[in-house]
Amino acid sequence: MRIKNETTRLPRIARGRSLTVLVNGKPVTAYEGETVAAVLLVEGFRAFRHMPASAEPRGLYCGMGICYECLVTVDGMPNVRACVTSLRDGMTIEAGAQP
Amino acid sequence: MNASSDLAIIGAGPAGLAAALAAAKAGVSVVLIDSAPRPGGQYFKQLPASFSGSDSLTHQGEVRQITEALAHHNVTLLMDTVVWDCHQDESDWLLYLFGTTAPKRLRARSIVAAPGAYDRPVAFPGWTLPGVFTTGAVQNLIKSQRVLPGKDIVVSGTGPLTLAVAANLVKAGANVRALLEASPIVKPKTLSSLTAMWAQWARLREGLDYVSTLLSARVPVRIGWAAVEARGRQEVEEVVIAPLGDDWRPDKTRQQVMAADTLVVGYGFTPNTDITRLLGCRHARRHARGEHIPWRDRDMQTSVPGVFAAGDGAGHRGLGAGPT
Repeated sequence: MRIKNETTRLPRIARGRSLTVLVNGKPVTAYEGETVAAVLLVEGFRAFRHMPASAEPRGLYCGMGICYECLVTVDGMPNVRACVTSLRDGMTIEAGAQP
Repeated sequence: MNASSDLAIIGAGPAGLAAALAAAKAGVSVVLIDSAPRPGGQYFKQLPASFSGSDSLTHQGEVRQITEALAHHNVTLLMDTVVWDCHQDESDWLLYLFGTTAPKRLRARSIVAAPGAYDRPVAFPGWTLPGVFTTGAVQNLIKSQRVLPGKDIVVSGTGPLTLAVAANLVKAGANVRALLEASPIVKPKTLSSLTAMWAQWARLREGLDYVSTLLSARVPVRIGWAAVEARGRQEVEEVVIAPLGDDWRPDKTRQQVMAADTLVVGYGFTPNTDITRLLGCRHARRHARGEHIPWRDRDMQTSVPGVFAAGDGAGHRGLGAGPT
């Protein structure tokens, strides 16, 4: 049986002002204070990247900047930790591409 | 721009905050450094500054109390700042910083390393599959970012945090398929090793709240079981669970497969020794836990004069031990 994963924003909290980021070129509305990892999960990404040689998928694991599994490209800079990087308006994020 | 202070504290969690307050009250000038945007660390997990609302999940009040006290003293907070190198320069320490508002270098007479701990990683087939998270990652997502990372979730590991995570997931609306506690709690032989993990847990009321949440949601709890494999092509689709023997080896003849999109794993914490190793401190190996901790004298000074270690990063367990 295949279960569709769904990451959702939880209710009962006032988030920061809304902002727009580009995820693989697609404009996405998110909120100030959110991390790159949170917005990627909400956008349905689980595999944030693939290993260069084996093409194994990798995603968020430790969630606190320790393990470097969740690396993505932010504003053209590769190998940025999605879990500890806060969103900025207009930020470009590349994630999940197959090698 | 260069800066200087009597004392540089690395890590603004419970131990670093307490050390900052104690030092500042003694008249010492302090720079308190943390890589996160807000002080508090992993235990006093904070909402992003731009979020607001009633908040029962984090300990914002407790952190506010300490930071307000710090504001009356000679303490500079450098958040969003990473210490990427450090060495002795005559009788001072020179810290190299990277951060949006931080000076490039900081000169300090002494250092308190309070880097905290992180989830001890445990490998099993499929542990790198997206959808396998540590308990710390899920706590961050729920408590700080306020996103629910999955729908059908298996929580596996040992110790109080798996219980807390399972309860928080239930409250956030997830379907927790099972909570697996690897340790066969009832066996007296293993009790001594287990108590170390549970004993620090002074917040009993929180614990009872978690238990009642799990009971009323009828979350199946299996003692002496663990997730032994995560399966899926691009992400978790199934979790294989099995009972464990006395040596914690899974009995695969009795394994079961559960459909799930998320597996949360937590086997306790391991001290973060990056900074004390960088500083050249001598470390001792704790064989039973498979971890290293910095050696310290009675004044919490490491083998390197002028370098002190505090909190979970120095091998303490949990909040109760942090602010000593």
